[in-house]
Amino acid sequence: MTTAAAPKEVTLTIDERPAKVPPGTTILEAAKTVGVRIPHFCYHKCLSIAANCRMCLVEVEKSPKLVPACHGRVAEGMVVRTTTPKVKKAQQAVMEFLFINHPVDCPICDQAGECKLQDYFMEFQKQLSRFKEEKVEKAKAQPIGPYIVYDAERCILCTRCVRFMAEIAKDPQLAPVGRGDRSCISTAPGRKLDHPYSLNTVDICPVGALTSREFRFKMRTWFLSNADSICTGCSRGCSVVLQHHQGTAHRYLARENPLVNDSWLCDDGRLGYRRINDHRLKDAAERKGNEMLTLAYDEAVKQAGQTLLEDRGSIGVAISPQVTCEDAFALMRFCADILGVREIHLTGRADWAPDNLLKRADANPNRRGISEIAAALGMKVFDVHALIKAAQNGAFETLLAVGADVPDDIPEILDLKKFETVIVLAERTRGIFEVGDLAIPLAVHAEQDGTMVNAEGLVQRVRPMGRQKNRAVPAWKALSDVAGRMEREFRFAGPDAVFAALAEAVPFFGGMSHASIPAHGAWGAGAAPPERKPLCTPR
Amino acid sequence: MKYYIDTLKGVMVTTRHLVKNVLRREKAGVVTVEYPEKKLTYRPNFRGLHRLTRRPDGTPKCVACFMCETVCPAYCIHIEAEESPDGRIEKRPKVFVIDELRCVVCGLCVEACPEDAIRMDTAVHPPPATGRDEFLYERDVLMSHKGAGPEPPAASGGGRRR
Repeated sequence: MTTAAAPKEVTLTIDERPAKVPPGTTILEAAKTVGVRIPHFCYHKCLSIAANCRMCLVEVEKSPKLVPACHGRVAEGMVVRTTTPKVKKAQQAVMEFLFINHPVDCPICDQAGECKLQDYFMEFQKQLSRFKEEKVEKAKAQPIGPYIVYDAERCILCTRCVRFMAEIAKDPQLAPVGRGDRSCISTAPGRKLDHPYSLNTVDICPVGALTSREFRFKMRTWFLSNADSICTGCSRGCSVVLQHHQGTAHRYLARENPLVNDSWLCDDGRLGYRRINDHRLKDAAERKGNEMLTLAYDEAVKQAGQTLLEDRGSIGVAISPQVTCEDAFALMRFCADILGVREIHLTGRADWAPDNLLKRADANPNRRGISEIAAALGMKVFDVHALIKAAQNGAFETLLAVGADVPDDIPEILDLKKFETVIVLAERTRGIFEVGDLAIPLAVHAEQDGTMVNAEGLVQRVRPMGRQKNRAVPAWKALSDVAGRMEREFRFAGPDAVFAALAEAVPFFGGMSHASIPAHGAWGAGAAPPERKPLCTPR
Repeated sequence: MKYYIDTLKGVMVTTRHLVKNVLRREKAGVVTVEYPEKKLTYRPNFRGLHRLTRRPDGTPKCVACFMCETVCPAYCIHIEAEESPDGRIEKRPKVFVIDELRCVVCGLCVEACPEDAIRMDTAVHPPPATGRDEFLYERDVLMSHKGAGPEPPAASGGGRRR
């Protein structure tokens, strides 16, 4: 058989709908292309095919038995039916079997609300169990690793977690053990599920068998709202769904993005959502002796404007690569047009240990974006060491910093106190805030509509949670208010307008607008999409 | 002239009812109860002050599933969950507060509860208080309320269904 002779497309019919897919496609994926949803537990797009849950059985014409759609490949002229009585009966039977030893402890199960067993029960089973015997009792709430709790009774043994650990993490820490109704997922004796990507198993667990110890019992899933965002843990910029409730971030879930992270996140990045809530600066503040006292926003803006007017000519500017492109652009325009400053210092978090999957050494999500903007606006970029040196030499009187993050591993950072006045737009009461004289609360990526550029040059959007527990504002807003106090015209109508001005001024963002950036992000002009090996098991 | 006659007729009706009500109470079918000397007994399905039921060992039956908080149309229930020391129960409420001023006494929380942990069978109203904070009934207070009817059978407990 020669591959050259193989046809490029196969035509088949799924539920009377004609579908055209490349040969080798599974029936389940082919059905997706024509909008037919086939229920499944064990199948995952990025993992090998196990076909062990049997939920995806469909009827294929001329086939004597039902075929698992996740495993069966398409063939020319195939006729697939997913809603025939035979299929429905099979689905009902599969569900009934899965529920035989399931404890149905939904009230105490964290998965309730996003559980496939619950969803499919309502959709496909619709009948109560006929099982009258005692259920088999297995281990419950078993801490299987530092981040994860395993409940053997809820487990349906789909082996998604096992396959993830073996195929993606390449560290087979999990395996199914035991036989029959006593079978469960386990680590080797004495070992733990402690791989730095282990929380992905919680994401892909279709039931409540693997739950996150960190998220456990904190929130019921149906209270959570979603905002498309990106992980700000490192310069990879993995796509995430930020789940939040009433202005509090509760967790990150991986958002599928074939350009960046497929379906995965590292544990450090995933737990980075806590930085949205922790140590936040809620109101503007000014230094009185050793204390920072709360101040009205307008008063803080007025004071900042006065200081910047008086010290003009001796102002240093710092920016953290944790802030959005909009904030960075506004700051640089503010520097160039109003302060007449042409130099900028990049602060940000210190590097951390990278790995060979997703995590990058640079723990700042927007260094590339800020560099591109600075280059286009003709700003000279210096690093944090230059800033410390400037403080030690008394090169400037005033420091204007956007973003409070500084590397923790440089103790000389306290030398920033030597500046006469430190005005900081601070997200957190950490870093530069601690040496600050005047602080204005700065909105983090989860509180503003903005964009960030990952190290590879992919421009991605971040969306706001919609409700805030603090009075933080984006830097472009705060800076335009400060400029107003300096009696200078420096206004933006909104985040879209900032980005429009940015796209006009910086060729890297040429032709983009907030609305035109797709969910997967858009490559900046001149950015070469890297040769990327997908984190998926080849089929 | 007709105006005065009609007015008098009306006054006569009122007066007749007044005399009848005062002198011949029972026959007139008056339903007024001489509170507080006499008190009506409530029907068994009267929705009174909430209470949290307990297990035989005194711990709350509630497993903090948030069903009542979810269904509550007045947003008057606030729960915070924590790990239970009893591994078979797993989850219990660390904080359970009902704002009785916000409560609209609809009883949906009782309907929604999968554990029979919250009931409104105390047959009393929230007593008057001098501050709004005093209407925030906390977990232990709610657990101390007694039901007016017979106690429910002791369930096996936990989120487990057996």
